[in-house]
Amino acid sequence: MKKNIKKNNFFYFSITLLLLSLPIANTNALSKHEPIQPIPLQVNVNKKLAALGKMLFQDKRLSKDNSISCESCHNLNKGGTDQKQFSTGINGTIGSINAPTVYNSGFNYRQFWDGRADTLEEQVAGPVHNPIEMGSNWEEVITKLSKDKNYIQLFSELYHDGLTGKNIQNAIANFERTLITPNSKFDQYLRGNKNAITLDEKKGYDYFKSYGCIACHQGVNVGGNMFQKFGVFKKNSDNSQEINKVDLGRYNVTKKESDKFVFKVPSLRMVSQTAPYFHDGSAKTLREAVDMMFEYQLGRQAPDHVKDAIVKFLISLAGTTLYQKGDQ
Amino acid sequence: MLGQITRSPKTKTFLISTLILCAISSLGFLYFKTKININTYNETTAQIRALSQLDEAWNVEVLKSSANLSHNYDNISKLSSKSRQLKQNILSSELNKKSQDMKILKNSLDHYIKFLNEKEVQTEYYKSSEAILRNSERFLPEIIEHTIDNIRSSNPDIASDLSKLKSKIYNYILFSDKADRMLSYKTIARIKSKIKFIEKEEIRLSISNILSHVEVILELKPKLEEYLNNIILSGTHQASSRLLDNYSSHYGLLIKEAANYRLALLVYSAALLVTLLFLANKLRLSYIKINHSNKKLQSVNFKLKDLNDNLEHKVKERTNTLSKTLNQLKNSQMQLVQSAKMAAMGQMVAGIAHEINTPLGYINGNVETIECFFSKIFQLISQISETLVLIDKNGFNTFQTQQAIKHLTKQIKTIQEEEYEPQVKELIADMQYGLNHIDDIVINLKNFSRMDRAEFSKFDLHQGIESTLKVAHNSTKNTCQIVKEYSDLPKIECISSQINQVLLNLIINACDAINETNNKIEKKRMGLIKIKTFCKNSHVFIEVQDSGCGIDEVTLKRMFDPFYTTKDVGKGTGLGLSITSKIIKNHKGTLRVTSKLGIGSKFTIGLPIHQSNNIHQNKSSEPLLLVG
Repeated sequence: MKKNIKKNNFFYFSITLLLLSLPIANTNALSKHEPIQPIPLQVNVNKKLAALGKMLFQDKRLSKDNSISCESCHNLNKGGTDQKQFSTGINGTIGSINAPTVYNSGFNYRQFWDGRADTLEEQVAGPVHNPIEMGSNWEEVITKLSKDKNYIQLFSELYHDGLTGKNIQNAIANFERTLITPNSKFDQYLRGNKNAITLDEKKGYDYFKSYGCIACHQGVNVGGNMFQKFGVFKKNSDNSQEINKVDLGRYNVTKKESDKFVFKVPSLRMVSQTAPYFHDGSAKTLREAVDMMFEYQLGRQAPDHVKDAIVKFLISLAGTTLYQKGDQ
Repeated sequence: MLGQITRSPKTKTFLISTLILCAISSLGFLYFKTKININTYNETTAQIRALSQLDEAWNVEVLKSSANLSHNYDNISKLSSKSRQLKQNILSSELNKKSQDMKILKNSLDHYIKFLNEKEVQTEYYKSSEAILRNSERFLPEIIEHTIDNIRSSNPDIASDLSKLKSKIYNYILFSDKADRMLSYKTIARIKSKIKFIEKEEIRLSISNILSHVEVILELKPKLEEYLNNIILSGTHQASSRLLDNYSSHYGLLIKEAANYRLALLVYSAALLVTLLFLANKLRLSYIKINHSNKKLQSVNFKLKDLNDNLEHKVKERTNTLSKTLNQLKNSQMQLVQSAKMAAMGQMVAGIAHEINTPLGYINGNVETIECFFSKIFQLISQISETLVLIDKNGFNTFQTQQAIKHLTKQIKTIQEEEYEPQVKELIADMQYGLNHIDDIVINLKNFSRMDRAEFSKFDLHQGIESTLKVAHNSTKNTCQIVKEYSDLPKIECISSQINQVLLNLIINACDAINETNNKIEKKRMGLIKIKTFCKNSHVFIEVQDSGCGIDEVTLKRMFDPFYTTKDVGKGTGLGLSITSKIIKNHKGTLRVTSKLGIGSKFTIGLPIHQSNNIHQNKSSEPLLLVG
């Protein structure tokens, strides 16, 4: 991919956040042995590429009827989601799966709930071509965008082969890589600022670990680096709920019996802003989601104060982004 | 080279160019075959090696995770992502393209990719299973101790079963003994059959929790071990070495092949070089040959040029000589014309001198006689004057006076007796006649020549004939009688002097012809020249007919040639008739000759009354010469 980028345009874009004075260089950092790792404070992405990617991310011409952009479902002011159970595609079509957040998606080792895309670039093509999402294709999109002199110029500046589907994917993916949420209260705690989180949040973290949530929700993204079966201790089919295709999860990709109901473990970084939860948006609140996890995944019960503390801890995971409200 | 088969130069050129093209393309082919892109090979093998190393790291990470030494799956996930990337690179590399036609290579590559994919799947399973198993392993002791404590009093049977299950499962967790697993399952079944007798729902829930966790452990523990085994012993390492081996041996073959081709290239280029040298030598030889013949040709050319130059020179010389001769000829012609003129003039002058001499002779004599008379008269006059002086001095009646008068009277008587008066009158009349004669001759001579007027002017032909006859009088007077037969003629446009010359020529020739006849018969007899003029069709004709010897046939043919003469050497120039014909030609006139030997000749001149203005246009037109 990088081969496509013009060499003379390598001005690396660094997002450096200096919002709070931080003891970044604290030698007593806890993080080294913690299962959760802080989000890096900066990411190296070509600034111009990211700017182009942002334009495309917000461009409704990527959909067939020019009604929907990427941002329509991944609102940067709503935690990178539309905060709906299912997203609305072109012609008002209601989708069948909950839109995951675009924030920190660069830290996910695969994309989509079923992990069918290996890279962000691959992911970009998905919604554009999905008939119930943007319902378009690159040929159509390029025809529309090539009427925009600004795009033509930017693409010819940044890519030797100009405006192509592949390059649109690349630009948007590069923009998405800048959508990180570093410097959360919890990250500050991990970096050694013991007072960055409250006692409740600290307790929540301890419960999170001791009750076994951490087994799957670990790493930088607090998830996003493995698959897990949804319903280890309580099967989905145990409910009276009917089973849809999307509920089969990774099975849809591999067609292996053992992959039924298996999903990519989602990141919990922005979990406080991305209700409703799970692939089917079945949990309306964070607490509900925690309850379900205890029941389905941990196979154990916990007192309310534990779950409450865990919710508080989860809220402390959310960092700041360059794209807060009012920021364009 | 092409033997005896003759081909068109086009085919020959085509054949030769095809041959050259073949030679060059085979050279290029061989050269291409010696080239091996070792870079792509190096790149691909580097990628395979990197993937292999990554694979090792991957194993280490999985082992670390299984030994509880790592805290999250970020590393494993990153490694598997990277490995996917590298795998993709290898699949899009030259190796994959090549392996499409290399069965061994394709097999080893497919094998490797398959193992890698399988390893990835196993790793995913491993992570998922390990996460669950670890939770259960950790949670189970806590809940099982707690539950046993809770039901020890109320349900000791179940409590003892749970304790049994506890020890079995602990053993299983620690040693993975299959017997423990079997026993655990049996215990679970036993507990499950008793569970419905428990009254407390809380305890029932706890026990079913325990059982499900135990089941999870029993199910996942062997699976996890299997996954771990599959990952560590995935065979990717061997597959990658085999792939590398096959790939390198493939390249080895290629290199060997390239070496063979290089040898072939060497031999081929040597052969080509030899051929080239041979051709070059041949070319050189033929060049030398060509050069040689060129030189020969050049020398021949040189000689030819020399000859040419010589020839030119000679031609020039000849031309020069010729033109000189021509000039000389022209000069001599002119001189001849001049001398002819002079001869004619000489003849004429001789005649004219004689004509003038006769009157001059007697004019001279008469003048002497008159002088003699006058001296006597002057003597008489002086005596008269003396006598008159005496009369005046002495008076009339003196002796002296009387004497003197007597003397005078005597003298006058003598003069009267000698009849001086009629004699002097006669003498003067004679002299006047002579002078008139001379004047006449001079006027005619002047008219004849009219040298001052060499241009066309109106001219009376009869006057011209008269003048000419006067000029030729000396020739004609003793030879022939002139008979004139004039008719009315208009004045014609001509150059009078030239026409006079023509007439003179004809008349003199006629005289000569008559003299010739006289000489032959040795008898002097008056000849006859008849001159006739008439006018017809805007032309004027003059006939000059003589009773001379006539002209023989040979002479008739040649008489207009310059310098042809029948006269004795020194007498004629041979130019008379040639000049005559030329003059008539100038006047666009005609000249006709009829002659009979022994009887005479007739020359008829026809002249146009008017000369057309554009003389030049008709300059080339020949005069009509009819000879009969």
